[in-house]
Amino acid sequence: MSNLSDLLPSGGAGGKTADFTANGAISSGAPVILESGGDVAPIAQTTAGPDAPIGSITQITGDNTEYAHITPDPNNSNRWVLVYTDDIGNKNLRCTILTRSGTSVTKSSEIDIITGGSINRTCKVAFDKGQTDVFVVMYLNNSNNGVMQAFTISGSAGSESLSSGTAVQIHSGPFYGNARGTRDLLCFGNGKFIGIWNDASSNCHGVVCTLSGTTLTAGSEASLCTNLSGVMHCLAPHKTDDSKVFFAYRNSNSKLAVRVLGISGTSITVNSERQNSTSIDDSGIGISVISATKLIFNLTQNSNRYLAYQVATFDGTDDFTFGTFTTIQSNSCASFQAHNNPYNFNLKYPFSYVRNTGSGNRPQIRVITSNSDASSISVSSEDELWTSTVASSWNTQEQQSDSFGHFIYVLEQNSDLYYILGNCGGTTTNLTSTNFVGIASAAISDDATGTVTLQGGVSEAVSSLTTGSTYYVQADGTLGTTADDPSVEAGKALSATKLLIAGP
Amino acid sequence: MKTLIENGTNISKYLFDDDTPVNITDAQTEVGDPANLDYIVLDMNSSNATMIEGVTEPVDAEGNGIWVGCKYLCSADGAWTENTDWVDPSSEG
Repeated sequence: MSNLSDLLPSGGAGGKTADFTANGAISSGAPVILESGGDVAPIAQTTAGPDAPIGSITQITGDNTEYAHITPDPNNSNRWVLVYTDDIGNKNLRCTILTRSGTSVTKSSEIDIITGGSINRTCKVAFDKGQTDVFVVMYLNNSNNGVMQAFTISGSAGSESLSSGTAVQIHSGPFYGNARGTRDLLCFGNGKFIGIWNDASSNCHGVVCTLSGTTLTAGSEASLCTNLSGVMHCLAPHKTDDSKVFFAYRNSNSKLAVRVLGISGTSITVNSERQNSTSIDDSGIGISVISATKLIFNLTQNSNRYLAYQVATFDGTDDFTFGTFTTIQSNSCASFQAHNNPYNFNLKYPFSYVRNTGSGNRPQIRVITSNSDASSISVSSEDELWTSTVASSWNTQEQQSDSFGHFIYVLEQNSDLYYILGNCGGTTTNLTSTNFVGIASAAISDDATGTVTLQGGVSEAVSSLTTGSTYYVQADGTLGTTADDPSVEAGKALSATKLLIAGP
Repeated sequence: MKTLIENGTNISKYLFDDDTPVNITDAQTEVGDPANLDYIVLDMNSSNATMIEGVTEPVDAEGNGIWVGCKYLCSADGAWTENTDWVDPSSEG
């Protein structure tokens, strides 16, 4: 044997070919996928968005509500859970499950989590990363004590029901949250949750709970800070280290303050406060985790409530270096929601806000796009989402981890809750980790029948390969020597014009 | 003092002390010491914004400064008028 081609059986392609009908025109030498109907199709990448609203703006409930908070499911990139409280009468704590399919959203019935009682219940929700269909709610129970409780979803979209574990008390007495849906309950690792709240003074507290099945075990309550200004506080996970959580708030100097919370088991170590140098307002606060060392804080400038962001570099221990405070828009906003997905750390995320454009408070959106180290950030132009006047409080928004960064923005309009579906834009491909079937032996017209060299065969329709290199199918349908997303091996180059197609 | 206004509407967006460095470029406005900027304003630049120098902050009956971003219009001669479209963003609705 003098070269790799000598391995080939005679008869080209090693005899491993088959004829298929093409769904779409296919070029000679192009990788193809097998569709469910048995046709083959070219691999194509689609770029779209951003887009909002997608479909109709839809009412979630016609009952008066408060304290809405939504969370994305890390194990189902099409699903969110929303919790909120009834603002009139019995103050029930309720839940609605929202499931996206394409451009539509299926809404579950309103499910009561807690009924009765007469208190205003702040409530927050987060899914467990470590098990499917399980989420945790932090709320005030009917005795006015802070608790966490796990719930399991069963049933198909639109027909879900819940079963629950036992509520575990995390705080004796009432706690308070803010009206703007900040992320105060976070799943920062499999079965690991941290909840924070403020008391009637200027103090913020937190508790870590671990979850096994639907059994929660609470640690001791920790004092996180004693110098809140307003009730703006939020959490974000470290991208790679689940022993660290970022805690941000507006401090008594009206500055952005950040602390690293070190977590071991259910114990919390509170590191020193670090603050920026530019005053911020209390219309919201959000953290977008970009990398292990880069965070984008989403803010408003003090007094003016102008939208802004500020990048911070984390030293890996407890310190931050703040970049230049950057005002996005010199118009006052009433409230905002801005952070990326806390599990996939999307580089595009929605910065949604409510501002009065002269005809009342209306929801607006911009999309923030960062590169992988937050050294380059762009901001899209303002887009008005709805021509109805909405409340400046009780808003909440979360983004999903899908490639388009779909998000749901929940707003109160005339005391009723509505949702808006949108996406931040992106690219997607019809290539999956399992549907690559081979390489077209020659060009095939749409609806025509042609030959495809199958896995285990040798394609001679390729060119310009490097002998001995392993090639991967790229998301856009080309061949390359590095794996794309999804990672699909095409085969090994036997020569510049021959590819031994990887077997299944 | 000096104020940065939006061309066309004369809405006063920012109010600065006279000695605050403000650099209005083609792309943005940079506020503070160039070596260590206080902040950048992405949506105000030399084509849509003008700095009016030598203004006096509007005051209430007790003489306290009452300027708030977007609440006032400022003409080229430094005269203030209330922006009738302004709504206090902190009022819940």
